[in-house]
Amino acid sequence: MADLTYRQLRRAVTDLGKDVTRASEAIRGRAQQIHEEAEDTGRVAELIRAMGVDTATTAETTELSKIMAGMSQAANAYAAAANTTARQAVAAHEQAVASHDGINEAYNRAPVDVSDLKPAWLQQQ
Amino acid sequence: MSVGTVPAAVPEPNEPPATTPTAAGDATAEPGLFTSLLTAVEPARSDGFHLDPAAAGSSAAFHTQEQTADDTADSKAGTRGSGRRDSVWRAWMLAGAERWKKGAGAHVKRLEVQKAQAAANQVRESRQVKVNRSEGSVSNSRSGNAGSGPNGAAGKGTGGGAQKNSKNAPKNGPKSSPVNSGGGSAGTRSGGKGGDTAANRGASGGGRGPAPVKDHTGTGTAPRGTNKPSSAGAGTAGGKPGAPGAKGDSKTAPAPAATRGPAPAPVKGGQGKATDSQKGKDLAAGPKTGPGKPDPRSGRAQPQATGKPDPAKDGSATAAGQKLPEKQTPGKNGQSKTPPAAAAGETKPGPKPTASGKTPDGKTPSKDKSKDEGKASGAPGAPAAVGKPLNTRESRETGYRDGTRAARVTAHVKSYGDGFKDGWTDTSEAAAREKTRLDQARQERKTPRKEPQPVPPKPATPPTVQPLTVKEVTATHVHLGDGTARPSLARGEVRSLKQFERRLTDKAEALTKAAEQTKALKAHADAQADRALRLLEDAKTVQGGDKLTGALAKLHDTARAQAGKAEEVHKQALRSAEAARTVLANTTTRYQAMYQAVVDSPETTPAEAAFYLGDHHG
Repeated sequence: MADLTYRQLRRAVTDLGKDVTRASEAIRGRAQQIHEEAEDTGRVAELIRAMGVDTATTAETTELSKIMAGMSQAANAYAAAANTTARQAVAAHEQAVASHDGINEAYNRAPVDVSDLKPAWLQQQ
Repeated sequence: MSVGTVPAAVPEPNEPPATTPTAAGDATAEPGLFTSLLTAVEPARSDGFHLDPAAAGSSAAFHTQEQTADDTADSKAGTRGSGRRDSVWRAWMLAGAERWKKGAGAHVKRLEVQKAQAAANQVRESRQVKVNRSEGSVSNSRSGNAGSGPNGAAGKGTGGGAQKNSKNAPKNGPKSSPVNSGGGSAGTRSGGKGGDTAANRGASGGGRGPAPVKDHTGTGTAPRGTNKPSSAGAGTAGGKPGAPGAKGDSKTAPAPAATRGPAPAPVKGGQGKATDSQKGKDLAAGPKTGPGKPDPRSGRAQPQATGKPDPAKDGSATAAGQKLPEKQTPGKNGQSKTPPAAAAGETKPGPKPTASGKTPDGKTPSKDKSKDEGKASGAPGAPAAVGKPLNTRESRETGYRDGTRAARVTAHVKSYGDGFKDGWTDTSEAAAREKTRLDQARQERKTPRKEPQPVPPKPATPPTVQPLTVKEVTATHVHLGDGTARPSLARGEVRSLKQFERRLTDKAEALTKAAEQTKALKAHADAQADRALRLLEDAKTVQGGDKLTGALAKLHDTARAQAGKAEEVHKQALRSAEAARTVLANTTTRYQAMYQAVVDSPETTPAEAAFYLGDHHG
């Protein structure tokens, strides 16, 4: 754990954001597909009802369409959450940069060996 | 000339004073007096003359000339008479014409005569009369002013002529019109002698002055005289023709001509008068002028005088004289405006110029001399009169009025021009704008056809589209190959059990697959949450700072929430797949037996339900 470095942190956060965004987009596509399936199911329910199929079957079919719609909504919710996560990842990255980018550069350009320097040494008073 | 004329108009009233000096000037100091007097007078005269004075000057000139001529030499007067006759004619004719134009009626004449009589003693009164007339025309006003000057000159002139008649001159000066100075002088003289009658005559003589002058000058006076008697109408006619003649004689200036004309006449009159005596009868002037013709002339002259006197009288005479001068002046102007100036210049500057100016006329020179003398004599009178006459105010007012009128006309014309330009430009601009608009519209109408074509070309970019792979095409479905979003495309309708089962089967399979995907998704979300948590822990470990750890903590929370959503989606997917499978299983359970029966039956479709169930319901 202690191996985490500033650059690793930045990279990890950026990758996380990218992954989340990519997954979010995929999920959003899947959610749209499921939504269409749900609507089709509802249409089928109407059709079989017109064909005189028993109410139990039609009701079950309608219920199926609703469940599928719920699934679609859940998928959309997941996509929204994924977006939120992605934005937060970006925010974390920006925060990391804001907090440590200058310090990182200063340490890396330090004319002396600061590898063992205690953070308290440079603590802001 | 001008001097004579000018003085004549005004002088008549003023004359008396002028005459005396003129007399003196005539005898001895003619040149010196002339010059001095003339110079002094000139300004006033010139001013007055330029406008009206020409007319007044003309008559005055005649008188002065006559008198002077009389004084100087009868022989010259004779010669002068001929030359001046023309000028006199012109002046007289012009005066008559103007009078006629003015429509001076007998009433006016009478009134004028009366006024002249009343004013015989007072020059100013005569001026007033002139002023009244002047209202109508600028010339009158001017005549008033000029008259004073000219009258003074004329008075002098007459005086010159009359100097011998010294009495007449002064009297004439005040009373008679300057133009008629000759006659006026005579009249005044007579008036001085005779009193009112004399004044009448004098006034008439003033009017007559020119006429008589013409008579005198115009050897052919008889016809002219006849014409004149007719008064304004005839006078005008005669006067005009005469004027042209005078002009013809000396284009130098109608005014001068007029002046000369009158001057000569006076000269003759003066001569006649001189011969006759200072009485300078008004009529006598006429008659005298035509010494040879005296009787007829006198007769004529009187009638003329009577006829003319009214107009000729101060106002009329002056007006006529002035008008005449004006008219003449225009003609003269056309010929050469110099005349009036020349006349003035001549008269004032000295006898020589006048003489020279007259000389061209012919007989005039002698008359000129006489005039010069008269002028010279008049000059002294003029200065005296100058104080009075110098009322340029009227002239100024008149000029202002005329200027205002002219300015109005000009303003209207200019405004019209400006408005025309504005309208033209505005309309032109509007037309130009309209044209540009229409041109643009036409251009646009033409261009559109080109545009539509460019639109179609876009088909050029179909490459990105991937062909759709189809595995199988059945009666109800198009089964798509791998990589497609859907496994199959089906007709929208489900009208049979098997269609329904297939549709549900497809959905169940899709949902099952989705459930699996959602399961992977959940795992992915959990992994993300774990990564976020790990980053958070690492950050805390390295003491990355509160803000960074806070951001990472928030990231962990969101990732965790996302994982929760993934869990929910997974549950929903499982539930949906389960529901689909349930529906499919139930359907199979419910209808498979009947469907199998139909399959087993040679019939492909069952009969109506009632056919099988009618007994139960029945």
